[in-house]
Amino acid sequence: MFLSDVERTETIKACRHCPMCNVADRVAQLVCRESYGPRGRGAILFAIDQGLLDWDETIADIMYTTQNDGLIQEWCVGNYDHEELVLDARAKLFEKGLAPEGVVKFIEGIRAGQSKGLSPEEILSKAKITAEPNADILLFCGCGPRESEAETILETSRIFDRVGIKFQVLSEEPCCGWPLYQLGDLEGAKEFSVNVAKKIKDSGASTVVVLDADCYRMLLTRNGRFGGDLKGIKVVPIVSLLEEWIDSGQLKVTQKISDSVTYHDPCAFARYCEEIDSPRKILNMILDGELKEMDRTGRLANCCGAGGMLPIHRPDLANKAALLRLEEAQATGASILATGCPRCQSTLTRATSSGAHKGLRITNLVRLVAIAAGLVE
Amino acid sequence: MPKDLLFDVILNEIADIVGHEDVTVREAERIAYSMDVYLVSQIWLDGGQKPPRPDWIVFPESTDEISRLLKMASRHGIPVIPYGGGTGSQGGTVPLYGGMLIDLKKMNRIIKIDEKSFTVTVQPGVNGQHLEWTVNKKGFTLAHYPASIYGATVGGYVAARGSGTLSTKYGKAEDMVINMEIVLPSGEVIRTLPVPSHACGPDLLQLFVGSEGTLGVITEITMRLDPIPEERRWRAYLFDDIRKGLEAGRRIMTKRLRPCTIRLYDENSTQRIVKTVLGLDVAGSYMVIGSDGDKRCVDLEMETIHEICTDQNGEDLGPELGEHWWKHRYDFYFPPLNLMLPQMFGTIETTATFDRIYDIYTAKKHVIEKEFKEWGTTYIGHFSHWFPWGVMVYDRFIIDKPPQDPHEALQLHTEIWGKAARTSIQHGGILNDHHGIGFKLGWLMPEQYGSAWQVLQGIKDHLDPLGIMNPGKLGFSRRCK
Ligand SMILES: Cc1cc2nc3c(=O)[nH]c(=O)nc-3n(C[C@H](O)[C@H](O)[C@H](O)COP(=O)(O)OP(=O)(O)OC[C@H]3O[C@@H](n4cnc5c(N)ncnc54)[C@H](O)[C@@H]3O)c2cc1C
Ligand code: SF4
Repeated sequence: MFLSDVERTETIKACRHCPMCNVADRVAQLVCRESYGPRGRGAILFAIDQGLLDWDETIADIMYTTQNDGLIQEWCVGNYDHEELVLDARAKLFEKGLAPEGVVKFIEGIRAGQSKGLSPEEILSKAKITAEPNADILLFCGCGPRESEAETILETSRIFDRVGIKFQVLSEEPCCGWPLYQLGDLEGAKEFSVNVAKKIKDSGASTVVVLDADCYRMLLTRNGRFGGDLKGIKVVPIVSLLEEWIDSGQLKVTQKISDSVTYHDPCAFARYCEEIDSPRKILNMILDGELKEMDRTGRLANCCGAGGMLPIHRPDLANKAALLRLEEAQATGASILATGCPRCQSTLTRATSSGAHKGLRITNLVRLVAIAAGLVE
Repeated sequence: MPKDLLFDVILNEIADIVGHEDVTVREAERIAYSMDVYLVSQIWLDGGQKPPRPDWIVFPESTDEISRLLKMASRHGIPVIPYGGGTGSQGGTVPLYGGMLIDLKKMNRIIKIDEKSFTVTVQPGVNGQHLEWTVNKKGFTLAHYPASIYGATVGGYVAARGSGTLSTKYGKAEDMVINMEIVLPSGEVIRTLPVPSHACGPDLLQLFVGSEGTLGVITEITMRLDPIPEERRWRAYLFDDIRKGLEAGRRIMTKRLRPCTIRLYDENSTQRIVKTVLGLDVAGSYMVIGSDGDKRCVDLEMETIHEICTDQNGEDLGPELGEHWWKHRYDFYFPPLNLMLPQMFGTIETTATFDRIYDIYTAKKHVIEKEFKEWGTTYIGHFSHWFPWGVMVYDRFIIDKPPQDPHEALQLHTEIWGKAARTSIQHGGILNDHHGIGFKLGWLMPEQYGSAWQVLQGIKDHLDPLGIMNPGKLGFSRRCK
């Protein structure tokens, strides 16, 4: 959908014999199979186009076993959009009814509105916080945070409160459609994009502040292309607001953080939306010491394991990828791994359950800001 | 026994060794494993035909599993094809006769970094760039930078006698290897001597270096490491023509200087590649040269190099263009900057002593440009990988509009290769410098070696009497049924 026919053909032709980004494909490195790397995928798609192969479950397994995190395109000197090529293949597989069973079930769940999370209002009311129904700013929490990182939502609202800025939430916040887009249900992604845009428009807010990096990318760069209408509405990630508030003194830092901290760049922020500087500026302002950077940061950062909805089809590999990222964090000697996205946060936190990486705490940048502002212990 | 049953029998025997998870016979995967980067399988696929595919693809994790796999293969007499990164350009991993392809990428452990002796011991499937990143953290470098580093494995480096951009100082893969463990076709596991320098008879280690999977599977490798140099400096020069540049290079090497890189582009490449990738639009012969090590040594070496180059009328283009080249040295190999089908092309590189290299270059240029004129063939070359006694010319033919029919394309391809390779041999060169032989050049090996070929074939026959190891490669006669 996001590749024209010509771009798709050119990408397949470029990738089908090219081993140059193999090292950038972490899942291919974990799976250790040529067929699961960029070149293998290119060759397989080429063979399908040549009429030498038919779409089948094997190909589905291959196309869904990747993080699809933008690192391949980043690595590629020719800037071929291999990730979008994979999404195109997933869409074809889904349409043909060949997507893996777990993926289909997950999609059905989303379409049926099954979300394990509470609504934003329910989360806020538990902490006796009330949003302002007609506020100009709308806080878009995202399914991930509502499901497993409700604290981040609460800390964000406390920061809003401290700065004295009112915000509203969507009473029945819908999914932004990101998971459907990633998993190949493009019709679903369209429906959800249109729906979420309408709800946002109907709220009357002029600015949407987004907590989750993937939701941010979806609303900023994909919603319109899926038919959603967010014209005239500003979409900003929470990190850029936080930077602005601290920098301008609207949010006072009352206690700098003395722990040593490293930062994980969410793929959707760093690679797709150029959100690299804000988190670092924030950390510079709230840390006592220097930020301990990992070897691979910014546009070249490795994924936390959740990219491309990998945990749905291969949670084992997603966990392995997360463990590798934790190792990279631990190598910096930091005791805190902060990230700008609740989805990365929960993926990395889950991976610590094995007991490895003792002494490394995973947290959200929002939380660190809340601590520095004296809002949280 | 009907084939289908035998196929299943073997599949189950493989699964008994590595587990069902680590063997696949799925068609999509067989397609993905039907090619390395040799043009011929690609031409086949582009022509709408399936290239030869492996019957079974296996992912072992230990030497023991490989040993058992080879015993099983010997029992059934089935071909075995070792596969590293599949970045080889000679068809070395193409399963010409089908059989069992062994992908070694699961054997990717870095076993030991010996910080005292400056060596690293690895399993063969470790990715080249991954290894480099790992040893860099400890202050070392493997100093082996082939342009395929992002995809190639250390096993492939050694098995194909590879070379990297810094080979002029640090040597080729064969100079870096200290010792190895090998599983012979019989399944027996052997080790070479602990160190490569000895007076204990002929060199067993080097017998397996460059064997391209035809004599066994390399399962463990100890390589030399170097310290990350304190300084690495670059400079570019522009010579009036290739002869002047060659003479400058010869003088540098015979003065026994040890630059890490000398890369001299002929006039055609300077126009074609240097212009596209570096944005430098100049006429003449472009040379980039680098020196690294202790800062004081680099100062002195660069000063002497500068004297030699300017003495040959080389125009000093300064350090920036050299540094730019170093930073972008792999860009040339990414699509769309690389050569790709539908163009037909081949890297026909050879190495020779200084007294012969220019003649080889001109003779090959003549053959390619004149004898294949009707195809509008272009010949380009650069000289890299310099030795104390000679240099390699990395030359290529390029045909922008080759025949569409895969059979005709293959015929033309074979003719060009035959002419180019024989011209190299006739003028005192060799079939290949660092890409290896595979099946691309295997048919010319007996010509290259003459009466000495019987020695290599005899060794092959002795070690692999059933001919199961990578049949059709390196020019060995096929025994496997
Ligand atoms: C873009 C590009 C640039 C390149 N640039 C260079 C360069 O600068 N320098 C250079 O030297 N080469 C270069 N090559 C060629 C190729 O990358 C090298 O030959 C590389 O060393 C091959 O490694 P591999 O792991 O991919 O081997 P493969 O292609 O997998 O295998 C090569 C051969 O070795 C055998 N083999 C592999 N592993 C083992 C093992 N463990 N035991 C026994 N046999 C084994 C295979 O059977 C095959 O015959 C380039 C290739 C590409 C695509
Ligand atoms: S994305 Fe670029 S580097 Fe990766 S396989 Fe495709 S062409 Fe090669």
